[in-house]
Amino acid sequence: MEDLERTLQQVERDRLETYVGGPWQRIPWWYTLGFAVAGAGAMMTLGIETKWLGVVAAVVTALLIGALAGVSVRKAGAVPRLRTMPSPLRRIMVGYWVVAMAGIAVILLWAFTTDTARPFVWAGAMYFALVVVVGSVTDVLFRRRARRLAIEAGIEHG
Amino acid sequence: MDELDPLIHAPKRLRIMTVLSTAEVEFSRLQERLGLSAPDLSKQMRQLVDAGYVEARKTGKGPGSTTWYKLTRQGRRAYDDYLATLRRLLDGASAS
Repeated sequence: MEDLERTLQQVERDRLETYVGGPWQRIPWWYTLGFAVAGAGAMMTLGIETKWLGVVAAVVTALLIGALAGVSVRKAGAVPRLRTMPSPLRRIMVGYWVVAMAGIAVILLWAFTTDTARPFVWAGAMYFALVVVVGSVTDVLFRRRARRLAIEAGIEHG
Repeated sequence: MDELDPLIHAPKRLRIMTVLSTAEVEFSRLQERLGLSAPDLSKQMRQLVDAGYVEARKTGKGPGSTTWYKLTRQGRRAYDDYLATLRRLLDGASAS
């Protein structure tokens, strides 16, 4: 029976390690910055009046976002599932998405209704600031919480 | 009588199944994480793929190509059943 207990403990450590160990630490520091630039670019394309240029800009930003996602996945060597993520970490990720989506909605609403000149350029700049700030805060919170969980589980030592 | 799936119960395969239950993982990362040699990991993976528990996906061509693994629906069900059985056995032992 002790064997089975040890087996279950190992299972729990292995499950946790996906989220508190390697994959996340391999994601490059410029990842958030890259997404902020690409997303801001995507938002700015909404304001381009020349149709063909708008299409070209949209394709370029889509390719950039795709390339960034590809690089981060290759570097991490793993695509972790949100569903099996420990709840303290999942709450941080869900919080990020909720804040980011709400922020984007507010920015777009503002851009479509304001009388300001070049609203989508401003919207892009606001989006950039939003993603950099929220992304960086999330990153710090996530790493801190992950480290605490790793220490509690004996995966890492404090 | 509760029985643990022998294919999953082997320590190396159980660790592989556990890691794959949380993520889709590339071969070299899996190898690094579990501390297994490439031939050993390949052997274990082949057994899991043959059983229909794991699905392999190759990306790229030539020397830069990589293989990614993830659990199939059948594998996820088998793994969940395995864990449920393991917990039942432990609960039963602590109750008696």
